[in-house]
Amino acid sequence: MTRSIIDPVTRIEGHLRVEMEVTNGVVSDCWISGGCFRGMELVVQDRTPADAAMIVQRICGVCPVSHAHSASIAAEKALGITIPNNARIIRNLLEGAQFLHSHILWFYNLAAPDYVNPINALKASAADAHDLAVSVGTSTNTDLNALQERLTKFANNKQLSIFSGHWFDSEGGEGYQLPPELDLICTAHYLEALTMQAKASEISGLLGGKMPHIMTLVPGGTMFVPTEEKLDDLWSLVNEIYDWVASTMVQDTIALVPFYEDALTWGGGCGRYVAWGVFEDASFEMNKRYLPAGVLKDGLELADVNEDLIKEYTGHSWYKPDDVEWRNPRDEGLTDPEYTEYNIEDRYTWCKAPAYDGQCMEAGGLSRLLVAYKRGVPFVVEQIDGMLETLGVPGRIDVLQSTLGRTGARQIETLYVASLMKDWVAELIEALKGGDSEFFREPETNSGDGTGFWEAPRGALYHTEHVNGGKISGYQIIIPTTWNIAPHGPDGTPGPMEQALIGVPVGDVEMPINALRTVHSFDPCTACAVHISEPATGKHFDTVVSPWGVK
Amino acid sequence: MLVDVVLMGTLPELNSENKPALIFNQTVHDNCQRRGHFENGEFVYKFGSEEEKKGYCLYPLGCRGPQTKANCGVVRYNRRRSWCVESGAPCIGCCEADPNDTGHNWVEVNTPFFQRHRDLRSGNWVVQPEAIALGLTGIVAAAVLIHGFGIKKSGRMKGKFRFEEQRAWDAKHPDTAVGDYSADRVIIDEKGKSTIVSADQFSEKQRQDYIDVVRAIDGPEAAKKLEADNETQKGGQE
Repeated sequence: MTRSIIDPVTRIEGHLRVEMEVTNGVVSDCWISGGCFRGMELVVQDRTPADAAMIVQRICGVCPVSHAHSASIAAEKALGITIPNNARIIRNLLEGAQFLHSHILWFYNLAAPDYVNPINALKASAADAHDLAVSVGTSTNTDLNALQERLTKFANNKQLSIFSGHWFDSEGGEGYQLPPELDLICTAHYLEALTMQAKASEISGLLGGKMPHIMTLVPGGTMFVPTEEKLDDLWSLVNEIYDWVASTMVQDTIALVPFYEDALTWGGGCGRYVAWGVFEDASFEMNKRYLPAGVLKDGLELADVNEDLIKEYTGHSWYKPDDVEWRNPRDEGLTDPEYTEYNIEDRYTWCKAPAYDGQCMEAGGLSRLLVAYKRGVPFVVEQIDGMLETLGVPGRIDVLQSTLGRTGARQIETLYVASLMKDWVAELIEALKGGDSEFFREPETNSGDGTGFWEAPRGALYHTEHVNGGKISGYQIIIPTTWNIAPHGPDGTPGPMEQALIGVPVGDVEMPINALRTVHSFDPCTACAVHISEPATGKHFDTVVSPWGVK
Repeated sequence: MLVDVVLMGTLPELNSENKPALIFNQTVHDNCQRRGHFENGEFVYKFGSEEEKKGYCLYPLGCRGPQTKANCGVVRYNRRRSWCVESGAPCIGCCEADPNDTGHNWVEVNTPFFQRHRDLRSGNWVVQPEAIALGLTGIVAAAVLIHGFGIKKSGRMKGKFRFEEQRAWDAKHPDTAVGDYSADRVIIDEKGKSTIVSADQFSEKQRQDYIDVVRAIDGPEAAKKLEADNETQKGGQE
């Protein structure tokens, strides 16, 4: 019986602590704590829905577009607006650009360092690495010899910079399994990814003014009106990113799998999924979105989304004790924070515990893909079946319900979005050629209630608001990671990520690399907390309440 | 900033608020690519409209460029790809902050974002926008703020300029007029003293100021002619 703690979890967005009980080398119990309170619901109170769309974006610098989108959809439902077709396409392009940015960044720069060891790449033969890249069909845009020289200089100066502080020597040096040649290829793609994620954000900047925190997405449509110059730039950016994604990401994933096959056998989690759907098609129906909405119950049984079944429990979270055990955020939403102390027997996180029909659910790329698969979206069905066949497990969709499955499936989604981006630009050009010049519609009323079901790159996103006389009188948000890092429920059932960690093998209590892989597979995003760590004295945290940091 | 520190080996110059002068000493409006349209009185009155496609000025939609000090339009974002105004979005003043007063933040100061406010702020000054249209008397205000009715009269603008008494848009579209032409106006003089005058008195003062400017630049003859024109106009109205 040993405690293994990761605090802070790095290479995520936000501030997260993982505490695990390890019995006989396997995680037997787990508590996840989100260490920052946001309270954005309180900030938008008494402001206009359009203001809210700008303000709530500041929840997160990775997925601001999704928050603007979800807030705007909520406002549009409340005020009875259907956005013009041009605005629908432009908003899809904005959301897609953010997905590409987020997915590329997450896979190569946040998750891959759990599998790839750039130091080991020093031992590679660049010529062999090139041959290997050709044989697995992945791209070779980088001069591998030059890269190796550069890495050697870093290593000789003992300045590992971005590659320092990782757990490359975990499990007595056995934690990382790739051959040096594959390490070299993936390190090259790590660096290329830094450029490509910036290019994806250029699209957001082009359409939204800047990224993070785009400016043009408002309730009613978009402020952005494409000119010929902007369309020209958009077309070339979209193609450049597609070409890189299509020649690199899925191939790299498949090349990694044989060396970490055990990670396909654990990390499954609760096995139930929510996806609210993302990328609107012309029908504006949730179930017909390019990545459609749906709920997968036990046994992956598909059901339509029912808002009444979404409820939140705060008995293990830092909120005032509540007489109501389960609250529906739309009708009974409440944000009343009260920090007590970190106590895993009682309250231990800022994160509420959302549930669908009384059960915790997983949100994220895997949820979206499984729902799309069940709803028969052709691209997704073809790609998933293809990937499973390549891995030698045809038809075994359950293989994806694991740490590596969750990590790998996202690249299929990246490829899907990258190819949709090209379609949308073409669609937009067709619409403009046809003479459609409408981009924005004013609301006809100034009061109403509405919910924006949408998806952030990390999963199901929910904004619900009440508007009275043009001002917000109630607002609640459930972000995707709230679903995933939910604490224990009222009956003591662990949350989805807690369940995923239980059963994960821990070969190294100080550097539990498999647990970290599992946490990263969810791409957690607890949003920007200010946190302080003190290298001299070890780990130390303060709860920071001033936006100006610690005095 | 990084160039200063890393390549030039100097620390950046700071302004009176201890912010880097390079970034925070000029307003967004000072360097705005749509400034020409502001000067021409060409504005966007609805998001995503034909005027937006022409790149007109976003002032009527609440743009905070005139009172927000930042160099967004110079540096631009995402590898200089674009910035808020270029993409059609009015500035919402999101860099507004005061470390000594957490209540003075961009949300409290600038919401509702997409409307013009009754008062504009700059430092400790809270000024009625109407005051800014005043050429000769509104010096204090004119130096820092601008009003869409007219054009600021400052050291940089030599020569005469007639302030619009009624916005061209409002004259054409009385049902969606943006200006309020009947409310009392505030005039702030050089010493910061404010006087409340009626709308009629205000426009009379505007005319008189204009005549004074013409007299100073073109001489008494031209001013007299203008005065005579004014009288005729008034006579016609009565």
